Amino acid sequence: MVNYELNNHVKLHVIETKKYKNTTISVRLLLPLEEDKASSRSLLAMMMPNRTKNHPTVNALTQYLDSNYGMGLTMNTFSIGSGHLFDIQCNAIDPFYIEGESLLTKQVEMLQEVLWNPLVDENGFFDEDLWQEAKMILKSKIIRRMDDPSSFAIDLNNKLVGKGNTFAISALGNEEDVDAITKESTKQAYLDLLSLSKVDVFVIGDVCSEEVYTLLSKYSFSNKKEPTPVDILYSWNEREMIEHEEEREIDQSIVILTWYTGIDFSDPLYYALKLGNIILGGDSNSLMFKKIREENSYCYSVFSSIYSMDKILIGYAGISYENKEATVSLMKEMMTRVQEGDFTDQLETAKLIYINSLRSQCDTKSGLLNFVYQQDLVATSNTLENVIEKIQSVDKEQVMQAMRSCELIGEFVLKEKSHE
Amino acid sequence: MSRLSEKYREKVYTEKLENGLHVVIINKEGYVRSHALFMTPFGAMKSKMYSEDKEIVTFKDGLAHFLEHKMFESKEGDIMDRFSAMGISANAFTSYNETVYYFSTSFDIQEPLELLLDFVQELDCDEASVEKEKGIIVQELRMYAQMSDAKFVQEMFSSLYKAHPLSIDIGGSEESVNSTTVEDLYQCYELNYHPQNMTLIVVSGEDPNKIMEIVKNNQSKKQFKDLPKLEIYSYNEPKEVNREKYSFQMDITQPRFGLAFKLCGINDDRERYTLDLALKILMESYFSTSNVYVQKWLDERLINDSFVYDSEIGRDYGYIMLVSETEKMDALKEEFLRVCHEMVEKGIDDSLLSSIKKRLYGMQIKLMNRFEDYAIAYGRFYYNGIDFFESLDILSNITKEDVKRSIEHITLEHMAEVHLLPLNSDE
Repeated sequence: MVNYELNNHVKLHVIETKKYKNTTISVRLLLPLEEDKASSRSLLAMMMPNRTKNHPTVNALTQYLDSNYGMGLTMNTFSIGSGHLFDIQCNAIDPFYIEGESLLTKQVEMLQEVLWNPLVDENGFFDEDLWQEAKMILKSKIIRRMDDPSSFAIDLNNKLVGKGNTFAISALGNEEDVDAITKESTKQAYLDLLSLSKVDVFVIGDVCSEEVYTLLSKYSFSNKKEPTPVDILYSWNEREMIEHEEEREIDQSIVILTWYTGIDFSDPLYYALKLGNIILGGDSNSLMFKKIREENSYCYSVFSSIYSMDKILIGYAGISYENKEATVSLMKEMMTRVQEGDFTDQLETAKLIYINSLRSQCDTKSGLLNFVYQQDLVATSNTLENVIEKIQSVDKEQVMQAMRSCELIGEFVLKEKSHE
Repeated sequence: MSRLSEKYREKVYTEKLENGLHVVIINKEGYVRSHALFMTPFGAMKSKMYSEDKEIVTFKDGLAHFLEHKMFESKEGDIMDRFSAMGISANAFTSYNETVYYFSTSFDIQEPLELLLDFVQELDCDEASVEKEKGIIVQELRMYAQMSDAKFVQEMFSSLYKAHPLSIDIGGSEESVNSTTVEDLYQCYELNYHPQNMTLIVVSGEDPNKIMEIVKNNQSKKQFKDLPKLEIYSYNEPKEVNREKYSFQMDITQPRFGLAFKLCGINDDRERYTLDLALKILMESYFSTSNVYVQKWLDERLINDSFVYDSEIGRDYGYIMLVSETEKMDALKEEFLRVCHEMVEKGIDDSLLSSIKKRLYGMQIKLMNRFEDYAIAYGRFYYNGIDFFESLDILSNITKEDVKRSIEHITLEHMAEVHLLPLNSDE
């Protein structure tokens, strides 16, 4: 990867490779995750790639993209630790497949259009129809997550256990917040995004890095201020044990246990924790899978998962409510087993699984981009090989130590409707 | 081994082995990964077949899916454990058209590839393990039953079809799962899992000659009984829909409306693929953002971002489907009908045909970056009698005349609508 500094605090990273059949440009803008601004900012992702000054209708934009062989244009928003990330991507197929015409300049122009030429009026307010439609869509997305039992359970669980902490904040915002969004707050969200965010531009494909640098230098963020510092790794305020159960008219109950680990991506024990998680419930060979699903047939879906930047580990299972007590008990028992080192070959297996997963991930465009970006965000310069070495060097004691740091802070049950 | 030209910068090696197994190796230089899948064209849609004696062989609802679960057992223990010991999470899925077993690895391919071939080519389960699996599958069915998207599509199919297996959930029902026996599974396996009707596809950065050697060595050590000849069963599916209007409730907030039209199937492979593709292009020209209607409906709040549309022409079935969350079902239905009639009357204009063809072409090129999607697409085209790369040529050559012929295949006469409402709604 070749790195450059474009003007005004913007970094460019170019990965030259002939492996893929298209070239992707990913512009990543990172702001602090703030609850009172999350909805306004997420609204931008509904509007900016939808219509622009030069493509003022969806139809016009679609026709332009289609005429360039289905040029892809997306904008997604995520939370990453205490950061609110906006990822604007434009991808286009390589000239070899379309009679020699390179689309790279058009990709750059399209991103410039999306970033600096949104559909706003002379006062900088977004087009009324576009804005109203975006609010409607953002609300629909939030409601849809609430309607889906699994998403609802995870979101509500995170909100409850994370109360008073960043973990509880949703990047999409809440339904009530969407109603409260004003045109002024949307305008400000857009200005903040462009001026205050930490900006990284990634280009990956069959390109020449110098040419990319020259091309992108023309489109720098000229009004870019110094980015607001975002340390995506954060400390927790006080935590308390939350037990919560509620009922919905569904066919299957969901159980979630939450542990505060105290270990995030920067911690020396991070890779030990990741391996401990795989042993616990990260794979079909895991203790939770074997005990809860295979041995007892309590569920189809059971797993444990880590939020790498948030110091959290969750265990999840979809079960019949009658097996709730047994499932919760088994989840805790499996955690205890890992903490006490009651596992044998599983550590070496977990290492293989983790390393295989990382190598496979870095073989794909999106996986490679996410890997390098994550390393950059936490200011490490680890290569894939470095990370693999760290994983291989983890021993059983370290896994036990990492898992012993896990403090149970949540038992959540979404109960199926009783049919008695 | 045959080797395709590099028109799309792809090197593909195919061979039919002595035992009938169709092997495809797609060489991806520069990658460390391999993705291998082993597929049988036996899915949930083959619920009945004719034996050589013209007797009807019936497979219980959900049997293909149940069998998929049980394939991961063996005398030597759980197959998943053996893959895990290599650092691999293997998996499988059952659809209406196929059952697929697959793995991905960034390590050497030999051991997992042999394991894939070995475990799929032998069924080893007993009554106790079948009984144990029932609880797991029932939980799986309940998980999908409370996913409103999956549930809605299933109800759409149940509204369209009466006798055709599309009307039945891929996993069957709790009753059919609980009544499945070990004998059912073995009979199903012996009739449908044989090298003669199966395909192995490997997308890999490793040396294709090495991979082919591994497969040939593995297969040469095995003997297979002759494959019983089964014939495709013809379901007496009426032209009319099963339910013209169906309404159900779930614990959701936003109501959903779906409209579907029932079409006939086409038996000839090339004709079917051409018209299916032409119909998809036609649908794109009216129901994607290539057309102004989507924006009009958003402006009028008849639809939101959940709006989806689909069409398919199979051998013995076909449909057009339109679905969206909406508070205005009657108005949306009127609009869907109006535009469908317009689509049938006016067809497609030249510039839209050209631009949509470009879009679909770009999508197919990008698909070749994604090993999993590439492998499954390759296999599906094969079982539909079309070569993957030939499909790109067919796409390039689609004409307005082809779209016109696809319109002739459409009838808007047989229509079904489905309403999903929040609990305790009045309708």
